[in-house]
Amino acid sequence: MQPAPLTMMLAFLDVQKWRPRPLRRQGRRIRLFTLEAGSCEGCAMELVSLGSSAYPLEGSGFQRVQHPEDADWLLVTGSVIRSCASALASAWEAMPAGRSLVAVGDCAYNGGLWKNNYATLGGLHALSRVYSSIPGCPPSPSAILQALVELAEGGSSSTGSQASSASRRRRQ
Amino acid sequence: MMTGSALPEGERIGLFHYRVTAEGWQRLLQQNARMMTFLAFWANEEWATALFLLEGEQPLLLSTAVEQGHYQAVSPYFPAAQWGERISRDLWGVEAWSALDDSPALDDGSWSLTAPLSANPLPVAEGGGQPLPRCRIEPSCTPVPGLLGIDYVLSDGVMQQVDIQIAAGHRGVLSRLIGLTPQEAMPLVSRISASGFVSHPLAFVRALEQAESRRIDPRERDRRLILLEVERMGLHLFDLAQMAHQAGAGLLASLYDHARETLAEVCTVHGLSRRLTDSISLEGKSGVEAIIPFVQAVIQGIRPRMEQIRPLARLFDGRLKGVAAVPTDVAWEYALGGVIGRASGRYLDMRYMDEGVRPQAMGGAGRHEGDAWARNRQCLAEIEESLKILERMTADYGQESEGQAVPRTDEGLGVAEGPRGDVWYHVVLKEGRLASVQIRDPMLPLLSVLGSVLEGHEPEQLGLVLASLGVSPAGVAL
Repeated sequence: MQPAPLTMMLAFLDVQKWRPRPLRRQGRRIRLFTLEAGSCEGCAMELVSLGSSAYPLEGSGFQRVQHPEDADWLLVTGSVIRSCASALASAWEAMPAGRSLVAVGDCAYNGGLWKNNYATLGGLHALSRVYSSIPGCPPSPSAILQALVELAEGGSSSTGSQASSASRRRRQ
Repeated sequence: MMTGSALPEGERIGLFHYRVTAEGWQRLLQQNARMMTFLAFWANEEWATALFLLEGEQPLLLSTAVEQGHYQAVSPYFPAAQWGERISRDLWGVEAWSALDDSPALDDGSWSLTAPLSANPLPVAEGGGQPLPRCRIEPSCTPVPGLLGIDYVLSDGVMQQVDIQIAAGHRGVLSRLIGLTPQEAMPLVSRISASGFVSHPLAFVRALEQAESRRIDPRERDRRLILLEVERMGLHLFDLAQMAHQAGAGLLASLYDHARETLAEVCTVHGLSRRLTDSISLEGKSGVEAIIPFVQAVIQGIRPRMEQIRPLARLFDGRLKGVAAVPTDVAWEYALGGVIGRASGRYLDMRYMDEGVRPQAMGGAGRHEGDAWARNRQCLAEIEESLKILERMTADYGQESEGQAVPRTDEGLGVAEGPRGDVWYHVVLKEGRLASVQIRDPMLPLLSVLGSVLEGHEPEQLGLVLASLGVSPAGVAL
């Protein structure tokens, strides 16, 4: 077994070797608050992965924050469960002016396979006209990042593939 | 230990299924409280049903009639049944006499219908009901990907009287599934929990195959087993990364994250989805045609990563000693499965019951310490074990196995040993459609003990405790 300092150094070098290259974009740092609204947790887990060192989220000009009061964009995953509607509304109300709402994944956009029923209201598509969306079930972290960069630069989408494109409706 | 033949008053109505009178129900529960392992409970307006595990890991379904909306509770004899009793009351409006806990589990008044699965659901006020009761950590703020509310009293700086709430995550899954054909249900079942993109649909498909008396060819059987192991590695890497992150071992967390992304990349390159969503097929081929090259790529991608991770993990895992210990007797009493059970001395692994299992490649890895340190080591050991199983399968892929055809009963019970424990599905078919479906996710027994495991920890440790237990409410809030 190799000594501890050597183990640490090799691990550090390995992480450096695999350090992802950031996606360059213009403009200020955008602060993201994520909110799970009811799903299989697949999209939420991909957002966790996006926040890991395997993806250059911070290097690409984004920052995850712990409170909606500090956020510029609200990233929602899951079709909105009735019980979560008030949490979603509270988070949105708490955000400062210039805020944006982004539906991450098919469920958050239009309910995906989990449409409206006694427990679920469905996707943001049916609840609000003020949102952007990132399709996928679940979208990959790289697709989410690509879409966030496109949205930040004011583009309406489009890397060509459905999985990596973002559609933008309006921003409030 | 009791066996099916020791049920003189029971009417056998299925392969593992007996119906008993109310008196017989109570007598069996009393007499066998220490002799059977309780797995799950559910009740609709007609029948209350409990799922047990007998000697040799043989399942037993025991049902009794629900009379005028009531039945005798199971929870006084098997405390793990309380969540099933609460959920049954919320969904079907049936109540258990003498239940340990009769508070709402899913419905705290926020639905537009009460008892939505009953024959005559009751509507409430237009626009839905009331917001969920407030708790100290709101469901969307708990440090897990899903929706889990946690309430507690802070006493001397640690959490006490912890209450776990899952209502916020209820999606009405069962109401959507009932009445569908199996083909229609598959996409939904494949998205019940991201902790089981393979294990949930696999348990469902196995239940259907038993119900319809269908047998699969050995290659399809092996493709499914391969996907199950790949999912296990991916979820274990996720849990290990979260544990390392929460323990302040950022460098180690990075290695886990990179390893998991390597696995996702291999899946994508070989034509699968990153997390194996929709990879299990009901009647066609699961996974991909060229499954052996896929397996080889997985091994080549993950093995060198694990060699890097292993020494670093041992440097850091001392930080996890003594955190969130689950005693061995609790693991057995509540049938805690997966890594939690096997790190706590309950070495049960339902993979040994799978047709085509490669026991030669399985090391029977298990620990007894029961804390986060043990679970961390168990996860690592199981990834190594999965690699051995995959290697073995490349050598004898599609080997014939002896399996017996069972008679068609239109009722099936399927199990798959998922990354976080055994996933069970019970289905009843009527005219080719799902007349009933019940799901037992490994999170269900954990709910019963999670509060006591959290007690005594500082609130700042919450993220580490939950990560070490692999907490994921999506499979139980349903």
